[in-house]
Amino acid sequence: MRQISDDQELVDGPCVYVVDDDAPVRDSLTMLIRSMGYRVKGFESAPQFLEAYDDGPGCLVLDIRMPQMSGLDLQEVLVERRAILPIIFMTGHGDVPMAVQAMRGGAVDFLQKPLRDQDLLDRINEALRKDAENRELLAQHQATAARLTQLTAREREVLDLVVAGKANKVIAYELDVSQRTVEIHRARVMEKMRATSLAHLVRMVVEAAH
Amino acid sequence: MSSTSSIHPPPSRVVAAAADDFKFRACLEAAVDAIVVIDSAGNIEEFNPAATRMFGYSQDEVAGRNVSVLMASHDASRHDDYMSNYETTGEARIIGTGREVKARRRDGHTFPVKLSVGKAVMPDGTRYVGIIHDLSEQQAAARALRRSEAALRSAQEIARIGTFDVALPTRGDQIRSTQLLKILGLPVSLGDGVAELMFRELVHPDDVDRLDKALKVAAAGRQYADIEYRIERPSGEVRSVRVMATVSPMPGTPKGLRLTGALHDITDARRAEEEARQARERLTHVGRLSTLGEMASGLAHELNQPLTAIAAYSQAAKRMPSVDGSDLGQALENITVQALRAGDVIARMREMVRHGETKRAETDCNQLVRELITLAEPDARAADIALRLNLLTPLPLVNVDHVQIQQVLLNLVRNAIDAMPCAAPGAEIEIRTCLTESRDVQVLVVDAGSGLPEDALEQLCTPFFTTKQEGTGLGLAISQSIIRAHGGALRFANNISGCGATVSFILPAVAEDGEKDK
Repeated sequence: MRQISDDQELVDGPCVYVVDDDAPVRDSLTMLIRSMGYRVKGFESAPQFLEAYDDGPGCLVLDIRMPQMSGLDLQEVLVERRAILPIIFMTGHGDVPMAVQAMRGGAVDFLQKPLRDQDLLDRINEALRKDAENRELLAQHQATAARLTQLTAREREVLDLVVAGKANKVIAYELDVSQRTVEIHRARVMEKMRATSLAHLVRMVVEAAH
Repeated sequence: MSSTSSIHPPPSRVVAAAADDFKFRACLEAAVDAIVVIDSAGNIEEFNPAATRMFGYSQDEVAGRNVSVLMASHDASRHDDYMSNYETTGEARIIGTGREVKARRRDGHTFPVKLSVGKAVMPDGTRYVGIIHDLSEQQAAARALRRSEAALRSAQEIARIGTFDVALPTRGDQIRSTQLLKILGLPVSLGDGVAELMFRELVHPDDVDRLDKALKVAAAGRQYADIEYRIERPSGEVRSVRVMATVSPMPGTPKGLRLTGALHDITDARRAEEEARQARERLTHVGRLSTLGEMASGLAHELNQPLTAIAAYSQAAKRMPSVDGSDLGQALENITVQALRAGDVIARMREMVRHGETKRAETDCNQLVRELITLAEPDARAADIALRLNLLTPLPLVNVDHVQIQQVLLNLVRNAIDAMPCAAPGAEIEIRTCLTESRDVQVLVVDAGSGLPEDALEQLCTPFFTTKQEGTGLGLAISQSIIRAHGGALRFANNISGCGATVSFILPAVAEDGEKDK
């Protein structure tokens, strides 16, 4: 937890987004979350949040029951948009089936109103940690993808065969080049992909393919 | 019998005889009944117009023929015997008395008649005069009367209505239908006194005064009385009846009444009405409950929002540097605790009223347990407790409301977590499924907590009873009512190991074809 003064606003860094149609609930929760040391923004409806959200890091504290668009609807839209923002659901009525649906949809957790601050703090910490992890992974995948585009067609061919587990000799035979040529391509691939080992290279490519 | 006793005109009075003959003719012509005169051999001499109308023969057609043509075959075959018997022995079977016999029309149709026979001894031989009265209409009327009486009897029986025309106290003729006696539970052979029984002795003690008063009022105003009261049959059975009668004072008898009317047995109708009323009441109750349920769930949401705000504001304030650790901080902490507690009450209340709307389906308890774990896991993790599943597969299906049973299970797991506040590392709660001896499904939650205090065991399911500091005392009460509604049972026991308790519920297994033979 970072300790910050009330007027200090972190422009970067993760933000806790609170979406609840009830103004006092929204206001009190943003105050509580701010007191915990987080950057926080409140929205009175799901569409309003969707309009403002720029895919930045953070997590969502979301009321499940709202007019127009419910919390579950918003979760669906975010999944469709491939947004990775973790969601902490809040409900006033502890509906088990809704909770099950939300958890299946990838929600971090489910809190029953009124909230216990320690529970909320724990869930927010967990959500932000998960978000940071997700973003780190995503960044790695994006970096891998970017590096892959820098490979020549021949290098790409060699890479695919290397990842498929084939020995240099076999690759040379299949591509109808000398083993020495394969070795040169392979060294270039390792360099361009910034792979520290063969295992690292394989893992990078396989994960990025997902 | 001597032949001298009869009409015997002297031959010297021819003129007078002519006049007599004229009168005789006039009598024959005018008579409504048929008059047939025969000689001692049975041959017809006179046949009046009424006879022609009755039998369909003209005078000419039957003159000289034997009278047996007018008789139904049974009597006809014997008539000659009767006649000769009478002629030789003087033993009359019919003369002077009259009897009912069967007559036969020209067209062969037979009909009942009353026959009276007179005898005239004349110079040229004995004559018999038969006067024949057609009984067809009279007998038809009697039959119709019998039929209508029978119809009335059965109508009274079906309608459960008895009729009466009686005096109270009993005096003179009384009319009371069989059905009246049946309603009163009296023997059909009852003699006098039905009025006393019906309006006094058999009347339910609580209704005596009311009935008496109603009859007096009706009598005073010569009005129609219409009153319901209860009869206690001699057998002790109580029937509700409604009497509708004209009531008038009985002349010459002080305080005497004449009552004419009907008694209707309305016991079954009353019973049906009562059942309908109860059914309506139950419906109203259910309606009220569901309205209450809707109201409660609406209220729950409306109250939960401000409670959430109160809790969040006070928790936020408590964290402020100037407040943290001070008395104000403690006060805010207390506000938070109470707001959260109120929220718990609302959540439980909502669960309680939600009972009505159940949707049951055949369910695998193992699946239900696995789903629930997702929800219970965070609480368990927060308390450093592992949830261990020990599921028996395959399990027979149970027909349950998925949501309700999960609520029960969630409640039991949370209780188990609460029972282990200072869990040692590696502490766990076991959720186990198994089969009972009767092959029903049992779900057990085994904790390693403080165990259940013996003196609390009986009260565990009493609403608002709690052993927890912040408990609402509704969780187990609701759980039990849910499980009972499913035909199951909730069980509590301290573990034999001496550590912790096991709370479980049993749900009846859905009978598989041919497997469950109960």
